[in-house]
Amino acid sequence: MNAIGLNHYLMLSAALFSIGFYGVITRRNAVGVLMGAELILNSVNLNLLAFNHFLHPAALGGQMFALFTITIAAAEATVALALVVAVYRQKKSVLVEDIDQLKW
Amino acid sequence: MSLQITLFYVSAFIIVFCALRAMTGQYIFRSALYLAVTLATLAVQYMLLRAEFVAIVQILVYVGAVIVLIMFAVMLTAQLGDAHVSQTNRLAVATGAASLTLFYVLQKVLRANDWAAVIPAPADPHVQVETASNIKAVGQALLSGYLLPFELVGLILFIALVGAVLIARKDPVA
Repeated sequence: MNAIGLNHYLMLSAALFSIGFYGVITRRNAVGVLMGAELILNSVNLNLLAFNHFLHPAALGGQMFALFTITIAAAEATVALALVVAVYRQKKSVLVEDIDQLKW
Repeated sequence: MSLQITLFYVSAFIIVFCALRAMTGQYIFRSALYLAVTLATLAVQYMLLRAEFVAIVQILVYVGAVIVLIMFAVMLTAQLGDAHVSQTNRLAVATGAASLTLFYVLQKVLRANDWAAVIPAPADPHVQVETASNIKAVGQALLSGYLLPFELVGLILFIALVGAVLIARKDPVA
């Protein structure tokens, strides 16, 4: 086995992205959909850090971008879960197919 | 096999396995626990990539805050624990095939490129790492070249917090 290179990390992040994509599409649960989105965001972070480390280790751009992504993801999770709780209070359901007020 | 290679493969296996369990499991609370393991193990990968500060932030923010939030949402919405409600819709098989295809295409494209040629070195990088400590360099960068986005992110977090409280409160404001 060779040393770990950029491609190893790209493969891992592609796998994580595909799994997150599967979760976002197939989950009936709004919280499950959110968990898939978190996986996708994390695969992006892994990509950013891998490119930063293997291509330009002296620069910090990738790590900074990953930090801001983590922060925005936390804000997004807060609002999304508040929405889930609010919708559950109104409809007594968190299944995404029950949330269809905007469907005409 | 060096320690680094072993660590990479072991943690990569844990990440992929737990992510799969998190996305396919029947019980959403167990999914949250598997997701917590995935996110915590990702911090090991960040350590291997010499991004110590991001690894610590990953554990603090994701495992410490986001997973706790998800668990609270799971417990506040009682229907989630029901084993008789199917957690996957009828697109499961088609989406499984689609995401396998997605992975295949992604890995083909990602391998085909010579990334060092595609991404040139930044002409004027905001900050260069001068110290051996990654955390010190990140701290200096955050408060010098990246000060404006740093402050803006604080504002966004504040707005998200207020918005979440407003959305989730019991009696909607008139």
